[in-house]
Amino acid sequence: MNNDIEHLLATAADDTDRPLKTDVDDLLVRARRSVRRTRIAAASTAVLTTATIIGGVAVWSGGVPNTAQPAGGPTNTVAIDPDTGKPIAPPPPVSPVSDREVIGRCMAKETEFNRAMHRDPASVAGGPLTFKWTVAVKSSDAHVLEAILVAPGSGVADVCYINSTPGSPSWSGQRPRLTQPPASGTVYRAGYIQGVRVPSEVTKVLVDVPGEPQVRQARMGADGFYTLGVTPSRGPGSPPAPKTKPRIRGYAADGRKVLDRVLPFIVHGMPPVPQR
Amino acid sequence: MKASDEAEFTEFAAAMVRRLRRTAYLMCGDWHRAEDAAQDALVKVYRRWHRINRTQGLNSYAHQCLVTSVFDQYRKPWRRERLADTDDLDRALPDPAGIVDDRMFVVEALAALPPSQRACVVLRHYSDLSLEQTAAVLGIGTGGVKSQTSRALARLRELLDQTERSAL
Repeated sequence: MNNDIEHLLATAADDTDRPLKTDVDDLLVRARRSVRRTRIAAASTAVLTTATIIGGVAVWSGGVPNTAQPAGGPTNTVAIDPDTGKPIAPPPPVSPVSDREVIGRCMAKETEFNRAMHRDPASVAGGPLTFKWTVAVKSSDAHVLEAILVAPGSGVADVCYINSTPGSPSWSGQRPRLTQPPASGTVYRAGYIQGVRVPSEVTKVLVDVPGEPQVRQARMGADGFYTLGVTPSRGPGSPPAPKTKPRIRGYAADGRKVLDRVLPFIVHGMPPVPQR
Repeated sequence: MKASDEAEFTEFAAAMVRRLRRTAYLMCGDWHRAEDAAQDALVKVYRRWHRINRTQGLNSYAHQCLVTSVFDQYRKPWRRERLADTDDLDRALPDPAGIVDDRMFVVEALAALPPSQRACVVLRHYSDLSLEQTAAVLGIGTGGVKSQTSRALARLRELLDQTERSAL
């Protein structure tokens, strides 16, 4: 019934007077190129995707250096401390000063002091500061740098405090000897809120200061040291510092409470509470 | 692709390229575009060569790629431009036997059909694809192929009758 149409279509498609310009070999080359391009595009996409993910993660975790900051990063949600019912303030910001610069600054101040006091650097516990020392924890603001440096072998620490506030610069460098802290921690610096060295299994430290509406979360460093930030310098005319005995708690990575004690000394001066 | 597969593909392409070009010509009415569409279709076939069922699905898949290529050409703006060259020239030249004119009437009548109807009638009545194969190529049901083909044939006859009457 449709033979007429089929005939007409066959006649219309007659290409006897239309030489074929397609060369099958050329077509094969084109097809191979197309496959190659697809593979390259797929590989490039995979590489780009991976790079984007890595870049995204790097940006997301930017500002969290890989030294002396093992745990307890800031979060956007307000966590509540189940023990006290108070909100937990975020840990202090990471010091932007590099570990090498921290050591360099502390070395310079110590050398200056040794020279002025005619002190033999070798006579100091742990010997002179060198770049072989490691920065266990550090914090800083525009004028103050606080850091705990640990000697090779971990037997001695250097508590380095540099205040470069114009008009009242100061420096101090203490050399406490380190022993393995017991479960309750070791007080290596009395009178300071961050003067306790906690057992190495502690990955989170919470400090509850009586009278404060929130609980402070410390930024953890290495070797059981932590920081709550820089204690601002107390110049003349500053209001009297609150005198309190803070409660310090340490938790292991699995959430187990390892340490819970009230500091046996009065703390003079407190770092500001970081804002969320 | 393995050398043996390439040899098979080369054989297939050599056998199919003319047929695909003619089918594409009926659908688009332009030999150059038809040749491009046939090449595009064969490249697509090459890319899926190991995944195609070569005993049954090869012909259908090649036609499916061809129809897609022709339809894609309509979407490209530079393809929509029609130059008044070859087709019009063919018509302007005297043709004592009247064969070229007859061919052009058919191609023009096909061009007056909606693309899906044109594809149905070409695949069913020129490429000899079965109802099921045509449905698979166009991605519609067999009922759709039947109705579109029926409408296309009726419209085609009507157009060709008119053309014949006006040519007399």
